[in-house]
Amino acid sequence: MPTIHVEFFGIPRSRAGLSKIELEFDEPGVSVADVIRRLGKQFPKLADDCITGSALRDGYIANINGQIFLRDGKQRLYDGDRLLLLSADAGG
Amino acid sequence: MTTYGYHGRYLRVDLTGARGEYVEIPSDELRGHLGGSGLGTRLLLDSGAAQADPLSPAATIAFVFSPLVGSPLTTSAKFAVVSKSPLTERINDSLASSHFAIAGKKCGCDAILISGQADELSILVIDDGQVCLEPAGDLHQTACSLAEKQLKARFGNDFHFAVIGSAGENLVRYATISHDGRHAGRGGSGAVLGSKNIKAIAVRGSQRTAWADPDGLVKYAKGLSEKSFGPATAKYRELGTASNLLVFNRLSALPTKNFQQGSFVGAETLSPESMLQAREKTRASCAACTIGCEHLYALKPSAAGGFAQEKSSVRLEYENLFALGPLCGIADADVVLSASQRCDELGLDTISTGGTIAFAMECAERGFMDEPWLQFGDGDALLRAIELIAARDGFGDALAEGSRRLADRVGQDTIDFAPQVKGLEIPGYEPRALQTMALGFAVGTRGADHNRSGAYEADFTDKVDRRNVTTDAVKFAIESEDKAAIMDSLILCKFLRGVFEDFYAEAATMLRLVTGWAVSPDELRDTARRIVSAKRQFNIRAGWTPDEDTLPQRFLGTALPDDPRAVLSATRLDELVAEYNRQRGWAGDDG
Ligand code: SF4
Repeated sequence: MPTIHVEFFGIPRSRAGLSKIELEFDEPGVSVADVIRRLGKQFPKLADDCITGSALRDGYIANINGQIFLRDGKQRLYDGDRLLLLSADAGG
Repeated sequence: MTTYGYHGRYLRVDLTGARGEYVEIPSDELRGHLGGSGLGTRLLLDSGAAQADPLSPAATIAFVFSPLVGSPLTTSAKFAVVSKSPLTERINDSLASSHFAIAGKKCGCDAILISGQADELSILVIDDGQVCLEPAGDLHQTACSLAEKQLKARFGNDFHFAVIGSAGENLVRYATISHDGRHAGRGGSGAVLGSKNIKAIAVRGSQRTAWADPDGLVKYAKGLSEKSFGPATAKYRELGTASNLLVFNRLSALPTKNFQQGSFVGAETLSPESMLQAREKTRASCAACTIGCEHLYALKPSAAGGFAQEKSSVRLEYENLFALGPLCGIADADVVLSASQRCDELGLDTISTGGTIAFAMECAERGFMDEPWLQFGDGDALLRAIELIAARDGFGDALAEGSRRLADRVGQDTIDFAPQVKGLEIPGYEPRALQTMALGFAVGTRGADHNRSGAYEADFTDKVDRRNVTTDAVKFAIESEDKAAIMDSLILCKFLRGVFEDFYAEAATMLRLVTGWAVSPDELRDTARRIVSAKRQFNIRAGWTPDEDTLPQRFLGTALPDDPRAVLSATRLDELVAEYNRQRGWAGDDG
């Protein structure tokens, strides 16, 4: 069953209150939206400010394994994937 | 003729004769270039500044306000300093904030253009438009904040001051101009003022401009302030730009040890999250700002390596953190904070300071120069080098010239890894990992610049593959440059950019409420292109050639060691630049 590693940066980190967490899922075929929905349930402050349902609010963005940025929650994740949550305006 | 929001004139100051006179600015020139960076470039083009030696009496330096200065619009208390850069010999427009902008505009002008040279170190006093020079011998080599403090005591609290530190007096090519702890930082405008024997400019005034629709403006400004408290600015309010550090590190986009790596083992120690655990932090903001992005960290009394500390806390931004930390291999937060503070007090641009020192460290480590004390990770060496640079003492004299001139002096192909474009040191964005930004750096009229081009924004989205961009990315670089041209000319803080749903429409609304002009979003898009073209025109007159629009060899064709996928070939960069010129409608060699 897939384990997804979530890393928080910036505001998502301050709202979650930690820098990373491992989430285990019972079923294969977990999507980014599934992870975000789970995080929203687990971290109320994160849900308030960064998440709406199973998507990130405007101003936040996800990245898989430091490689691909995405706003679309349909993207499938695989066992061991790392999902990064960060502020969309990553520059100075 | 007076236009709402403007005085319709600039103040021309000739230091050689200690004279000032108002000169009318035609209304169409104001509407066509707005203010700040755009208007400053236009006025400098007309003054012949592009052809002058930037450190000669013939050089002109412009302090430029904007139609929004003095209005209730949040973050609008800003001014631009525009001149030919002594570092790049190209256009240089740097911005700073706060009461100097408001008081300067109240002197009854939209800009102050200064040329000539005072006989001795002086203060240029502009009192409601009346110009005189006062001696400044007592402020010789005085630190920026102390100079401002002493000037306040001498002239009174209703004057506001732009000052240079010892770096400006000693003509360090990347010296800043400081006001209230903020700096017009890049490109060496402090040296231009220093070359004119001006330690400080004191402004006081009583002349206000009227607004076309005061009620509408106040209502709009209230709504904008409310939006500025929202999620789009949360990062800046709560954490500051320093929170970029861990993100960039994670993405191998954090320039480390003179761009030899994209991640740094000491990043976690330097992150604002870690720093907070060991020291107090306070927040501050520029005048007329509701965001308040400035995060000031307490300095430990012992941390300055034996150098005097003028203040007990220091502003920490991503750029000074990266440049004085990972770029020089420094993982000690106290050293980075002290180095930042010393740069602020001496009036040194932190990016160019860190970039030049990091370059010298690599040259020394690889045996290209005999300065064995300069080693990556050595905090004492960093602090010592900063003092030497500001004083132009010993090897500091060579470092004060910037990395490009230093490479020319050292030879042996070290120019290939001098971290600069057009002579301006590269800010904290690894070009191989952020390739839309790489294009922005290459074509930037000011040189490697993250303020006049925010092309990195596209790299942090799903719109491009940041480590393998194609010509599809060019439009994002152009959009970003155009948007910055408007923001820097209106002038509004970039940290507000996320609150606008339709930037050009909202910018047109603000301009209409202030000036009464029926400006459309499309007119503003044309204005943006006009401003970018004016900067290019300035550079052409200053001697620009197409081969300047590139990156150092280090970044071309070789993968970033800690991210093998991050490769930018020279051919690809050439294609991007050619496509950029095509979309701009430029021939590539004559603008
Ligand atoms: S957001 Fe920061 S830099 Fe911008 S105006 Fe406010 S305090 Fe100044």
